[in-house]
Amino acid sequence: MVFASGVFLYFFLPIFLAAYFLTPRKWKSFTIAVASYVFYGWWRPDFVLLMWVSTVVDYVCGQRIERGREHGLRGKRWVGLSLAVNLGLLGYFKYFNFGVDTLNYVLEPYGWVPMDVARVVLPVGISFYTFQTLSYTVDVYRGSAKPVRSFADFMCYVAMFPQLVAGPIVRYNTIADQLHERKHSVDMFYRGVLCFQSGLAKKVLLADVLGGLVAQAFDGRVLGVGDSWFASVAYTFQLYFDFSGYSDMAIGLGLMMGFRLPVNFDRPLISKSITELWRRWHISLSSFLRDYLYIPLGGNKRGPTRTYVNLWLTMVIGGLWHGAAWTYVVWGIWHGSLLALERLAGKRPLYSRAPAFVQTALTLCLITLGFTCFRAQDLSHAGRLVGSMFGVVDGAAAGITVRPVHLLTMGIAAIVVYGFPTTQSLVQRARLAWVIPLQLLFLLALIHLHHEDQVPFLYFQF
Amino acid sequence: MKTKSPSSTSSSELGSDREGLIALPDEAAVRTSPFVRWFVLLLFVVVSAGTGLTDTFFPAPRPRMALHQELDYEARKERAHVMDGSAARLFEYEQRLTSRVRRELAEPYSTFLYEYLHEPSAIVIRGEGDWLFMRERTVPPARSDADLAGLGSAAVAALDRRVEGAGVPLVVVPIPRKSVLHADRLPRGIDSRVGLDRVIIDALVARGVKTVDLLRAFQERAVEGIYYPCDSHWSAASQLLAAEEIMRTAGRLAPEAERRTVVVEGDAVTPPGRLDLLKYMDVRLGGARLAQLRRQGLHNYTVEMREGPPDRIPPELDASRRAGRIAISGTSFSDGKLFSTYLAHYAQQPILNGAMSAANFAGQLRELLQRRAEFPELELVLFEFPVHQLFFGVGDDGAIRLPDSLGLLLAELPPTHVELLELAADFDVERGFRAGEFVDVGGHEPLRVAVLAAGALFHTGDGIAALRVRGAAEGKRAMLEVQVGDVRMRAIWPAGATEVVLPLIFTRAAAQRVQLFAHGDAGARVRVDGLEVVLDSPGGRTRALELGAAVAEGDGWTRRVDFADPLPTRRFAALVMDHGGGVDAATELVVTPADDALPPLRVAIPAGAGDAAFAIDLGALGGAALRSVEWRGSGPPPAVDGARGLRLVD
Repeated sequence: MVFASGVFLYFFLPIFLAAYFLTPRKWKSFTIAVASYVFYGWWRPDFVLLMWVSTVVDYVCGQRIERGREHGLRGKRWVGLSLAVNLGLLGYFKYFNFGVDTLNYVLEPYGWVPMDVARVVLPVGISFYTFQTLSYTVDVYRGSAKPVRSFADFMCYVAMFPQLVAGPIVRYNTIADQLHERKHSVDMFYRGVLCFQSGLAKKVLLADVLGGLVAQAFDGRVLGVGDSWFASVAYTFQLYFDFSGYSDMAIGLGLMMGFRLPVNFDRPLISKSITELWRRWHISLSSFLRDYLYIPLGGNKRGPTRTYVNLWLTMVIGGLWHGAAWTYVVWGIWHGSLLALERLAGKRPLYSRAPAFVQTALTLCLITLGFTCFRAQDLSHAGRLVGSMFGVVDGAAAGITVRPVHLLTMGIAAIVVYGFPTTQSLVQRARLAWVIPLQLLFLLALIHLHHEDQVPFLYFQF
Repeated sequence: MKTKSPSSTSSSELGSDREGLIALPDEAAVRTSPFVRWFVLLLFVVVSAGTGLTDTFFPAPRPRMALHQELDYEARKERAHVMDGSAARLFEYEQRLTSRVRRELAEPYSTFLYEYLHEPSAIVIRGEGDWLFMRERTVPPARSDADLAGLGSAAVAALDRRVEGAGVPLVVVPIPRKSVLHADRLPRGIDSRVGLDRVIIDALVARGVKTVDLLRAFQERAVEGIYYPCDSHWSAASQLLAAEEIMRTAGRLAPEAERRTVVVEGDAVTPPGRLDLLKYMDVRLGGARLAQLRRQGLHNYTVEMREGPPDRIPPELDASRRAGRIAISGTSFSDGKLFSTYLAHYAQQPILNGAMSAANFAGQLRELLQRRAEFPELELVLFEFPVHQLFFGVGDDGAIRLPDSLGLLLAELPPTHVELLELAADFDVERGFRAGEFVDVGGHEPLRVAVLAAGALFHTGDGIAALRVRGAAEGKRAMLEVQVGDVRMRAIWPAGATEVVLPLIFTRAAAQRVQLFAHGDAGARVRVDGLEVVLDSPGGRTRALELGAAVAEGDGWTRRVDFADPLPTRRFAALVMDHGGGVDAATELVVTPADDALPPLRVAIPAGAGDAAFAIDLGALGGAALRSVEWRGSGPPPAVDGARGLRLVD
């Protein structure tokens, strides 16, 4: 199920909220878990089983680690089991096809008969919930979190539908107390509604409208310099509004249920360097990668060379986390290399002497180049697109249809990106001058949804 | 210039606390107007729950669907299953169909977007000067022109062979797309691949299918507005031209001097232009704007008596008569009375109108053939379909799906003559089906029945080779699906049939893997007694040809047979060669007609298919007499120089 759909907005959400507030406090987490299974299993009920496997394994591992600790054991094998199961599931469902395709591609010229195996279907959101359950076991192992007492609370943590399929990634130790005890208030619910409305408007009125423009530009056609830059920036905006819109909706729904979830975006497109970008973009993922990958690899404690390698490796794995394709790997390499270069230059961009707006513009160009590769169908398509951005056009440029609504949306998107603070801070202030127009935008988004077919969130695929 | 460190972004700017969680202000310190707060909450609840309740308890009536939409909907209902989410998607679809709130809001919103933001709906492309194009017809699938034309023409050729075998010759009328004929009206950035329609028509001709080339006719003879600007149909002038061209190609054009009727041009103001695409988008215009769009300056044309009362045409040419020696079977391009009247005028004989608006590919042809006994005098069927109906879709499994209507028709129409083909390998039958007992196939996922390995049979993919499934079906409706490479076709097992012969259709000549699947409604059971590949040859005449021994030639080898006297052939002729061993490299088969004006037919046989049994359609030669058949390859001659019995079947 997706948030921006009639079945969620007009059926699931009102029924769930009614059930949730009618449920006794003790059973509220269980209600969330059950509703989450319905939400997640709506399109593929069998994938719920997979989530249960992950839930049971990590719950048991957490308990065993704690029990072992009472007997002086560290519980290495239990954390190992958790890692094996979670990464095994992720590896199989997300990377099996990629591995087979790559093997066939590499070995076929040497007489290898290509493997003809059934394609593995990727369960939605598996990258998110496996990271979450993994973080639980690792935190318990490290001693930075206590194991959960109630299985219902743990089910609720793993399956919580607001952030289940596209984040933000919620680490267990940041939410453990709320799972056990959380307060509900009209004000919290009100701010949750505002946050949700804002996210829906971003997704439907900005991201989806730009999506039409982006889809035609990235369909494999030959583009001129202007069109390719315009379309690539449009994609950067689309991705930002789609993903941050989803995060806003998740945080809003969390607030309605009394949860305070992590903020995931801090106006990333105003960044003046790539280092800054990664403090503002998908914050829950970047901090996860930092704490569970970069620092365990040694971080910056083992000399400059190792630091650059660690940065680079972290970003490559971060790229692969987004998707099982070489385009994502190249995107990771691009960001890893830029981060290493900036660190080499003293944690500042190579253009740090330029005026602030130039720094922001140049950083946007670098981000856009990366996302062009991210969105491309394959590496050769990425190469052609990037080439066309620099005037290397192979064949007659086909152009793209830019309609008035695209220009209008790009203009509004730019104003929102550069002229408005984060949704969360707007929600905090909740000024009338923002709340009332937001109601109109919410209604407009609903009407627009009635008009258009629903468009799934981009981050569902990751 | 010193830049502000990102880490200096304060938590309050970000809206989070120290742990990164969303921060909420102290309720006591924040002055939020209770009125505003309750207004927002009330609006949220009313809109969310109110829409759900309204749509549940006061649903709008289901909108009228086109025939193909109705069939798709029925098929979705039949296939809906909880475990793969299709039932959930169906629920969402039905909810949208009958949403009262959506119905009330869609029209004013669509009209607003169209008029003030120049924004059509996602299914329509808005071109220059209010020209509208259906998106799915304008933008072909992302497969090469050669692939689209190859598969589309192969499907039509398979149909042509089976229908001709049933004694009803076809003349195929592919309708060129609006976006090709009016490409100058498309907006920048829309690539409708204007050459594709030409490639498809040429591919049909190359396969020996009798084809009316309306694309050339429209391009060579300028007529006023071929299509209506805001509609997907032809103007009257185009219909007139098309009717004449169809009868000319079919060889039924009555000489002008012998016609008892004439065409009279009406004025250009009275008939308003059609605006169906605006309705399709839920756009409702009024007043001067509507009047402006309606004024398209297109003429009307009527057929009247040359002599006598002008407003009456002879009863035997009346298009409303449900009889005739010529039938038109097709879609909304030919279903109107006007078009049948034009056809009748040019042929000077009545036309049996078997077309229907929004019909799916071959659906109307199937219906006509089912009622064949009612039309004993039928001599010819004009089979009309828009070119975009050959843009076959791709299923969730990545396989290209041929239309169900095609599979149903082909399964119901048994071939008149078949010849068994000996293959280089046997079918690998799945264990459950080996015992020759009924297997429960009802349920959701199709069960694989058998596989024929790639390289066992090389065929031209146009139904010359067919899979004969012997057995029976009982219980609920059972279905078979045959897949050649990545092309899949579905058919219902006809009630009471003891065998079903499904043509093997593929994009090009190849030796792809063939798979057979069975499934059906809950309670369907299928028994498979035997599986064979047969040659579908309506003529049924077989002649053995003596292929000479391999002779070194240049840096390769050749085996050939020359005919001292040109060897006559008939339409739907085919060459068959037995399987054999020792040919590893790519080879080529060259069939040379006796008529020097005709080019030789060359069929490239890829490496890995050299040992397969060959079934090659000679439709491209159109029944021409042959001078020679040559099989040649590069490198050393085949290690095993078996006889590889060669036969001409026509």
